[in-house]
Amino acid sequence: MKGEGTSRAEVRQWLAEARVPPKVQQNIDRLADSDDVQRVVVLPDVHLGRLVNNGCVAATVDLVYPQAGGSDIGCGFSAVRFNTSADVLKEDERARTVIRQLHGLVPALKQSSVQAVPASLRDRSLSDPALAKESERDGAWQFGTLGSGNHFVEFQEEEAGALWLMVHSGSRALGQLITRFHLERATRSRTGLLFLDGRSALGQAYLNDMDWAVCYASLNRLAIMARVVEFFDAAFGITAEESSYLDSPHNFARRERHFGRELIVHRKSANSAGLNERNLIAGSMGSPSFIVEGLGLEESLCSSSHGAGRVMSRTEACQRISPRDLKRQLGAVKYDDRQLARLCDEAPGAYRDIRKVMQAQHDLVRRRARLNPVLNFKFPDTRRT
Amino acid sequence: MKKSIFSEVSSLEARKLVDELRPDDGVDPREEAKRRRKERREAGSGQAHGVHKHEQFLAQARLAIDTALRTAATPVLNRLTVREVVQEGGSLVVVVTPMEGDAQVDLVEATRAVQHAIPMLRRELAAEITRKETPNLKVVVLPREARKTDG
Repeated sequence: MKGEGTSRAEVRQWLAEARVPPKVQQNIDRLADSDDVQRVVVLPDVHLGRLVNNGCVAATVDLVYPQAGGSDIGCGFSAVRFNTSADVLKEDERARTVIRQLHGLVPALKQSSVQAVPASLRDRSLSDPALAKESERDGAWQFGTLGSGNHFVEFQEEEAGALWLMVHSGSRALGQLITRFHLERATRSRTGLLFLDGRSALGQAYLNDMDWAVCYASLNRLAIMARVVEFFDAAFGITAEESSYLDSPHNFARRERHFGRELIVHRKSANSAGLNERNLIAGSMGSPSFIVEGLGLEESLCSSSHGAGRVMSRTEACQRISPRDLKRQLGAVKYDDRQLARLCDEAPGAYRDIRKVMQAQHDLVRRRARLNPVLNFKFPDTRRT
Repeated sequence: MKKSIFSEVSSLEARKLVDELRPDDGVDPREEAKRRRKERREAGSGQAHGVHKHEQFLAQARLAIDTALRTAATPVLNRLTVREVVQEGGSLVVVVTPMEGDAQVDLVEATRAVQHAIPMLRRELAAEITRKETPNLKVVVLPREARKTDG
């Protein structure tokens, strides 16, 4: 932790490589030098983000940094196991049927009609009427949508053969709206990062709204899963084992106790890894994901990586990876081949080797199950197409 | 039974409709369509709409005649109110009673005054409705405690 009179926070790193790229280091330094930041944890999937890296955790005492929690608040993974073997999706014809249905069941950006927002979400309130109005409009239109880019619906095969469904999505436009709304009211620290005082009304309002968005994101993933599960039940008679359901957000800030004191822990693309806490770490389109159990290492603020982490920017990946390369990298994984040319920025080659990431964090999490991709469904990044 | 984790987010309304047992469940949709067509034919096309328009007309007539009575120059007419308007062939039967709390009205005198005022009431009605021909009026004066015609 930061000592008395020291201006720079302690930085602890769990890296998959010997060192991080210079721009990533700059972001780490910026975070560590910011007001009230006590500790920064760099995880093995760290990669360049705007002002704050993805795969970084920061702890403060009083100040909240919205940029250190990520703008897609509550973004995360959810997974559930089916009562069948993954072989059902290895048939080309059936995989095609599923992909066709997924286009209708899980829209990318907006539903064709207003959706009923769950009661548990309506019971919570946002801090400002303008946000509440947006939540009623955009929140209802976007509920149950996936988004694009690295958001996905993936069917996976557990080592024992069981079929799993994993969803990666977040709080859609609302998370970004909440972040923007509060950043406009934030104070600039000496490093340029914006903060709100967690003891003030503004800071409390942000923490309340962030909590709302985390809940919205979880329910959004659950809604996507519900549609897919209902379809599997109706079309193939395959049901989900609800007891296996896991939800694992990786963009949020919350109060936690570490080193004997209460801290505000900001996780941007980082999992919580408290002792025996079950979470999900996803690979890329063509590499395995893992169900893990946290080891509760306080040095890492009880955190772990959320995935493999990019090693190439989207632009670089599009320039260096051809559709043919992507097809080769995906191997036997099923996908929507009409989108192939537009998914090169999501190619496995644009991400780290997940095995190296898992090795680098062996003292943070224990592997519980390995989930190999069988069918991956995602929409190309709309900013690029 | 344990609640499903998906219950809150699944398309609940649609599911409720699916679960609901309806008379057409298990019936060939083509047969059901035929049955509904037949039902509509028997009911007479646009009948419901006609009933509504007729009720609307009677309510208009009631209001017009009631207003005419309240604003009439003869004082005994001001103490009467329209209780009911019923269609009888091409005429309207208007049931009139003394206003609530006015037990002093002489029904014989009131009947005479009303019969005398029928042309005036018909004129007032004609001004309020949009019909080619204004129906004839048959006005009946009844004591306040008389029961309504529909029971």
